[in-house]
Amino acid sequence: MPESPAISHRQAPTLAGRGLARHLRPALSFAGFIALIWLLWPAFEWAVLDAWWTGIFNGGADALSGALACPDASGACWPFIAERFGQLMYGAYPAAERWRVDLGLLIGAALLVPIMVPRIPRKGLWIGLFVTAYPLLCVLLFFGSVGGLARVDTGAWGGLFLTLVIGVFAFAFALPAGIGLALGRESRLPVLRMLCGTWVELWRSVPTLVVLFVAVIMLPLFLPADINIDKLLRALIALSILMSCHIAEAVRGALRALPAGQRDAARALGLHRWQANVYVILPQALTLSTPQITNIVIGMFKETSLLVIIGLFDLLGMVQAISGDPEWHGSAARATGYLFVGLIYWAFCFGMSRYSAFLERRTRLGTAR
Amino acid sequence: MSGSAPPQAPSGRTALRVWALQVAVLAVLAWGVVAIGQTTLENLDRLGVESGFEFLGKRAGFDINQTLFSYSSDSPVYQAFLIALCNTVLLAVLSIALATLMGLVVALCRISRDWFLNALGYGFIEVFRNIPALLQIFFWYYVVLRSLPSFEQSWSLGASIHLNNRGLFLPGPEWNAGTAGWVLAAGLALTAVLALYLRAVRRRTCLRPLRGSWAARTGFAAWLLVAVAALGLAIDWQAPRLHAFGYDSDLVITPELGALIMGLAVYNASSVAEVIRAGFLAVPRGQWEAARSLGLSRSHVLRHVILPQAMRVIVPPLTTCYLNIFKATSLGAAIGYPEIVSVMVGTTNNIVGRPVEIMFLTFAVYSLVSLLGIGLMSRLNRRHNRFMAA
Repeated sequence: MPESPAISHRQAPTLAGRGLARHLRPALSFAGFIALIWLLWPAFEWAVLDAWWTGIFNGGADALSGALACPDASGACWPFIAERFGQLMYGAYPAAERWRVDLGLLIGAALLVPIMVPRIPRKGLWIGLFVTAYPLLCVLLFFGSVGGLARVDTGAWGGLFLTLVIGVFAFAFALPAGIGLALGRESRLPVLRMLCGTWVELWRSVPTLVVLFVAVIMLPLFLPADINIDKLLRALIALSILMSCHIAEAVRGALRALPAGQRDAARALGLHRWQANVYVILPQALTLSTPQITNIVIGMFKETSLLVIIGLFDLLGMVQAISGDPEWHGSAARATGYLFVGLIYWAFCFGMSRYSAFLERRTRLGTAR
Repeated sequence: MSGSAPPQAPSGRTALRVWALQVAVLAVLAWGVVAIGQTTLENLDRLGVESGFEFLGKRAGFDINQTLFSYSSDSPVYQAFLIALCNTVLLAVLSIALATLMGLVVALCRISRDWFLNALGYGFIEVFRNIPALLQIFFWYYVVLRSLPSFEQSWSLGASIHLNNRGLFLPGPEWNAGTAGWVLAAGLALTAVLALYLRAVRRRTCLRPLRGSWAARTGFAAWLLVAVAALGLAIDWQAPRLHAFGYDSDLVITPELGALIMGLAVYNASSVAEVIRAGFLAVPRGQWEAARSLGLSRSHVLRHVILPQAMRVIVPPLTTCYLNIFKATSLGAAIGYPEIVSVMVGTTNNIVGRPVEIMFLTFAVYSLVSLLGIGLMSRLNRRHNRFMAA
């Protein structure tokens, strides 16, 4: 068949085409289909058809447990998840006090609504509340020992609860710090520019795990002997520093993307440099960098899984800790645990990434108008 | 170009204030550094920790379960560090190679017009980039590789390759008398090919793009032949030996290494795929149409028009991806793979107890690699931009 001289509009930008490619594509398609079935069907069989389900609907409390519930590893062991659900969600937080966690997280979720829905005004106020008043409230509520609430030490915090707490607190610290670092890096003081730049690049160049070890090993050395900070706080400091450096880069990118005229116009209106920053530059830069900041939050949420290496019981750490229990020996408890927390991580990260994509589309439409 | 960047130097009273501010910032910083330094010294003194780097030359006293060159617990500490560095680099190189390969396939699926391949690519990306890398590594290590058969029931390919839950046992290389000569020959051939290639690169312009010249192609083929011959002739390949308690070979992919490669490659393949896809989409479709209407064949369009432009978009974020993989090799510490963090910050620090020095070394290694990567990328990009402008 002779090649047609004109390329149709539809065909042009793709790699698929004539000759070999025309036969290759259906073949590839078919191979992909076979591979998918070959991988997915056994997985489905393992997780659903061959799985052990006995007693998962009566809360696991009086149901069979251990080897009685899952005699072998031929299928997923869902009774394990049902019985250990409390631990996976709250860690060793006392069962009678778990309402405090629920309440605190519910308030957080309620606060996120006005922050995330673009049409609700006064974003600054809501974000301000989320990074100042809300963490304070969380400390009072979760830690207790005030207002008649029993004290619950951070050693008892764990599971999804710990993962979320770390995420919220790291963000609360990192957002203002990151904005500060970004402004510092774009400052007119060369010394400040250099210092902020070195600080940001230094932390960004090492792995998260090393930053965590710095906090765990070095922080106690940097502080006077009578100050003792617990492991959770150390990990929190490490992740906050790292996250603030990433946010600083995102905000700096947005600052550089703003037209120079914005600052000039603000100054021409008689605003002081700081007023120009607060009222004109930063609101635009923050809106512009929101998708990227959301991506940083997603990344950090995934990075919290590293806490298991320094011995904290976050969501993944909890699975590692409880699936070694001899009671479940011989069952597929560990694999089921991975599947379950994998689904939780996936749901959070996928949700946030969809939100980020939505914001990006919106911003693009906004600038196109 | 930028809103707040290069601000003009202020003058007069403002200049004075700016100077005062900078001096104040430096003073506060110096005070902080001195205070922290003093406290640290006091703490180290109180804990009886010595300082200095002389521990590097002392006997290490611990074993490492994967060594690329000879090492024993009697070797000095610095040798343990070098082993760990080699292990990190090995893991990074293998993960990067596999991630790039998988990423390329997924990106091609995403670019393809076939809806099924497209959906497959989309599914792959969205599933694997939203699950933490460490969870994926744990899954490979504790679930997949643990369920491989024990060594008595190994999956074997003849006598030379065996896969069981202790690892993948491959034929190990053994040097013989002729090795040095063959390696030299391969090296010379490689140098010749590189020289030809660099000459071609220097001479190319936009109107006369880089074409594999006849000499370069022949040289490359010759080198490949020499290399293959060297691998076959110069090295005696020793099949894994079977002992009472398992196989033994000089070339083993341990379960730790295997789990890390798979976990890191699958997790990062999704970001590599997105980067490659974005690069291809960034080339306007008019480029295809224009190049085709000039009479270039599809493969020529791809090689000389689309790829050079796409690469300019792809290279910077791809470098970031690769650096991220390099940093993520530190996850090896979670399953006991002897890379830098687990050997330095874990084992060595526990034994010799020099946290400040060891952290300094760790930071130095990772920062240097990052700087190197970024430097290489900007050089590549500058060259590329100059070439495109020419």
